[in-house]
Amino acid sequence: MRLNSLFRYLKPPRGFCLTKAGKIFFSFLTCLIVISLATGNNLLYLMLAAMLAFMIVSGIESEMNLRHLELDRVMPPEIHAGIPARIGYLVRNKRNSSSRLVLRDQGRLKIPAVGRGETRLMQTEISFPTRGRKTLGDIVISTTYPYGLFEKSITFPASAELVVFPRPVAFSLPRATGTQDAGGGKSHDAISHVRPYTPGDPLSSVVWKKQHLGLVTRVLEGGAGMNGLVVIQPGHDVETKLSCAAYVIAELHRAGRPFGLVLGDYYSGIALSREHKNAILTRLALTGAIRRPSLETVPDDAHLIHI
Amino acid sequence: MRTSSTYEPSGELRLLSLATSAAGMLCLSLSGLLHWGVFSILAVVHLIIWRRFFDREIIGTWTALGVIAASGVFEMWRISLSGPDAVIPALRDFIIILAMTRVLMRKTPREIYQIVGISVTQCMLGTIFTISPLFLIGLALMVVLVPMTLYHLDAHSFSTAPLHRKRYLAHWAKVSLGIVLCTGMLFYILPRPASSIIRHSFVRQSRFSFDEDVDLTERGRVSNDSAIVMRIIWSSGAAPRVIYLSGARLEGISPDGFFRQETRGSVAPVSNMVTDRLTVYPSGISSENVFYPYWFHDISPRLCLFRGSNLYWLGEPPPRYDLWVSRATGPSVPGSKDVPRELSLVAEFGLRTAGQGDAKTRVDRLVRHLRTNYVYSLDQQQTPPGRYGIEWFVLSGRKGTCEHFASALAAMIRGCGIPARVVTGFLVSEYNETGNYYIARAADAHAWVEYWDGSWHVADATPTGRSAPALRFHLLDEIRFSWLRWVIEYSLDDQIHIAVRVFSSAPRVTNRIELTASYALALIGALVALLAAATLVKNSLLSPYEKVRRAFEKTGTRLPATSSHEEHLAIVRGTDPALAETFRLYLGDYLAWRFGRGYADIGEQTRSMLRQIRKTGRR
Repeated sequence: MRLNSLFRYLKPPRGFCLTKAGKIFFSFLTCLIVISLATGNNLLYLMLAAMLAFMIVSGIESEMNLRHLELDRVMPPEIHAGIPARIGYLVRNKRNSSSRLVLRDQGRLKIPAVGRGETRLMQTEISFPTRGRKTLGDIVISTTYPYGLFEKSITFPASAELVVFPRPVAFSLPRATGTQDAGGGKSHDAISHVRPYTPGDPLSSVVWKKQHLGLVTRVLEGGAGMNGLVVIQPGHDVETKLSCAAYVIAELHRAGRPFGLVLGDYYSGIALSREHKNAILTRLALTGAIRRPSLETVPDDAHLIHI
Repeated sequence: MRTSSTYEPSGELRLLSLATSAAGMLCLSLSGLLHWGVFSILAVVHLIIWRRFFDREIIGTWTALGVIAASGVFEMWRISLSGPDAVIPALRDFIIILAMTRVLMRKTPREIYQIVGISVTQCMLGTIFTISPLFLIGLALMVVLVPMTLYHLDAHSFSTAPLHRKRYLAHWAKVSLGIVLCTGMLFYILPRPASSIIRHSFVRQSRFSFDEDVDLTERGRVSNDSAIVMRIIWSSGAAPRVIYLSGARLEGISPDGFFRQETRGSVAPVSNMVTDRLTVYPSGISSENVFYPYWFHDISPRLCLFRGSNLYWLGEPPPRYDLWVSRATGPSVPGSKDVPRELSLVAEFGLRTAGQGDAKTRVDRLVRHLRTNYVYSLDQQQTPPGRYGIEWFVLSGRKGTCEHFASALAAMIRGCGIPARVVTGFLVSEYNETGNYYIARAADAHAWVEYWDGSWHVADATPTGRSAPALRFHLLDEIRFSWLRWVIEYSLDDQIHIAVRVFSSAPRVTNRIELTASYALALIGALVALLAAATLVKNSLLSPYEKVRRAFEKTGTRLPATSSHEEHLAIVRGTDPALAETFRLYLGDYLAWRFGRGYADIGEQTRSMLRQIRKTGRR
């Protein structure tokens, strides 16, 4: 334990590696050291001192370039497997201006310059091929500034875990019926709000007047519109089932309709919120095998969507 | 390094790459390896390429390889024909062909790196063949141009614009100053090998050697060569106006002049009566004799062989040596009074001219006679056949150099029955007031007389009506000398000397226990300094909130790292309610800065928070 903390203490705060030009430079330097020692020629010593001084100045400049950098990783609220997700990085240097930075996280991102006190948002798209819990490592910012002889890097501790939701695969929702359409409200109820049209909405709720947003559906006060409880049945193609479930959940949430999930013994309840959706999607992302659903706790009036 | 077929270098990079190449060649010219005419032509070629053909591939890769291979074979053949003397010109020609070929080829970033590499090699080659301070111009150009070129190459590889024009000059001024300062510091710190190695240099060409015999029949040896052969610092006591810096004492006499003769008695230096110390810096003098004025006491380094009253270096002359001398002429073995039969007329003439009196009076009379009636001239008179040099000068010619005057005076003094000898060396009178040292030039080579009157005394019969000293730029010479002394000749001895001076200025420790204690203290001090530096670096890398958390811990308020900010606030409220409000405000700012991408100056606020925590802790 103590030894580890000693190692941590002694660990250099910066990463360092030579570029190709740097290797040639150091070869020159080594030759010069050997020749200087062999001959004792003071002009060679002067040149050697100049090259070493050049290295020192280069090191100071690169340190100034990296020092006082601040970095934040901005993750999107949802990441689905196989769908590129846009990750943002907020880079800021309050005291100095920085040039020629390369940010390495899930990929490489070039940052040409960050002015003094300026905050730059850099974005990149990453795609996770599979669902589940993923670990993001630390973020490394490196630079070859100023002379390209070596690459100095600084590591920002930004280890984090994230859950990659299943890739949504289109699944046709069952059409709504009159009784379901009525929901808890009446046909003469006041309109609560409108929402984008979702396939399956009753035609009477659709606003046919051309809107710049496209088709919208009226939602009446009193919770008009049917809920959807996704029930996943055991089967061979687990990934497809989970993907279809993720699609249905996302669509129901988008449509503003209450939704829930029954997966084996798990019952999520029926709700509308984003947190509810994320909890369900997380459950889907972390699911291994699918067992027979238990419908005992499910309300009788729930509209079941079997997948 | 990247190669790009669609490479379009910026204007600065074009200029810098070719300027670096030209600077490499300038280094060769400054070191005397490349004729200035050739350099001018190559510089013009560089200029044309920069203005017109930078983007064009003037010669292809295969042509370039062919040219380089052919030149390599040619230079090898040249060396095999001419021997080792052709190695340096061959090396020079090969590297110039390589550099020019590189410049004429395609110039992508990788090739520009090669241009820089070749230029640095040229500079390295140049350092071996020069000791001139002018070389510093080439080196300074390299120090400025190489970083600028590499900077632009890196900017190009990143596809970014280099520095803003407004900051350009200021940035490079700072970088150059930093490099120069670090270079100066490192140059004097870097450990040197043994000093003896430094003596070997390609550029040491001995230019002048004074004679250890005076042959008056030989013509054309005396010239007005103003090259500096020595610089002498008179370290203690008031410096005299003129120094007779003796190199050889000539005891034997022949009809044609004086020559060095081994005397039995060897004169060992005495260690007392030290009056003055001279540090002599010979430059380009081939003599192996040790020069010294007056009476010699000691020398450092002790690398001398005593032969008669002359001293010789055992090996290569050191780059500098110290002499401890006394201004009073000291005791010695009396010299000879012999005069060859062929010079009996000269001896008789001397006896007649000197008249009666003590030795000093008679010698003064002879000196006065020669100075009054004879003429100093570098146009050496041809001695008629059948006549001897000294006799012809005294009785007929009456024109001659210092060697004629000294030989004639010594022969005439001996004619009076007073032992006398000719001394050759340098008569130094040029004093550089800027650097406080004497300058001995080749033209200062001189011959005079020492006569025995209980001890040896100096007598100089050469008329003083020599031409007025030419206008000298003493400041320039001081710069040149400083360069030679503190750059070219800087050695391990100097490093040791400086280290000894530094340590000798520290309090003396003689007791072994005290010595051990001081070493232990020094070690502990170094460790503490190292730990302090490491802590300083480590602290500077901590996040602002971590600094605050640690500051609280030092005052006794422990804020666990695993607890939330709200819990931290609650702990502070419990322990120090007065500070809690300030901490709450800071926490708000910190969270806004940390998560809200805020623009708050958290550094200043953290410092203020730390001050308050420390103040509370002190209370």
